[in-house]
Amino acid sequence: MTNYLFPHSYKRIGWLLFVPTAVFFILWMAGVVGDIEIPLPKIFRFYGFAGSTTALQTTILPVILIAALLFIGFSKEEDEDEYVARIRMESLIWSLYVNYLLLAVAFLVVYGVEFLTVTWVGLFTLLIVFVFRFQWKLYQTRKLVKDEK
Amino acid sequence: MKNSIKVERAIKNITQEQLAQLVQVSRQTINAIELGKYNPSTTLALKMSQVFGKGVNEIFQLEDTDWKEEK
Repeated sequence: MTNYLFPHSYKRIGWLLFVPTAVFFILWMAGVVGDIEIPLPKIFRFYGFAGSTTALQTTILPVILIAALLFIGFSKEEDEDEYVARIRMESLIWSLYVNYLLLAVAFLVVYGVEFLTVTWVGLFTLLIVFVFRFQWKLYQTRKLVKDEK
Repeated sequence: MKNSIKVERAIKNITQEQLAQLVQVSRQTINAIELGKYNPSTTLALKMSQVFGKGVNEIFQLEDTDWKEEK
């Protein structure tokens, strides 16, 4: 029934990957840290880009961020059952609405080259909003039960 | 939909936690069902029916609001 989920242990891996990567991205976007140059893979050098470099921030780090967010949101919870699955689904729909609402506002108020930032952040907002909304709802339902004892 | 899980639990003298273990879900789920915040799957309803030794119809009942209004 829930065979599309990662094992529970992946959730911890997800958080361990997410926190440093997210902190780094925020510092990068704020201009505190610059690009970390890495050489292009060999295949590109073949096409005449010899000696070219690219930035870690625009290659490997987004991949890590995506993996981290998927691991957090789509790993089995310790108490995974049909109600958790429901909360996950509701959070996903909710974050989809929020994501496109934010994007619509951004289309109206952000112009020119600044919009590049919007597209960058926008690549991750759906997953980020989903993960935090989902974890928050889980926390609330667990707390509700604990308080009743 | 309303349900009489709380009553059935009282009859059987088991806590939410114990019922949760018997039907293999978390306590949050039992709590949400009792509060009417969540409708269980057919599978879970049948598991409860087995635990309480009663028909699903006796534990879960439809309400008027479950039907679409007649036009």
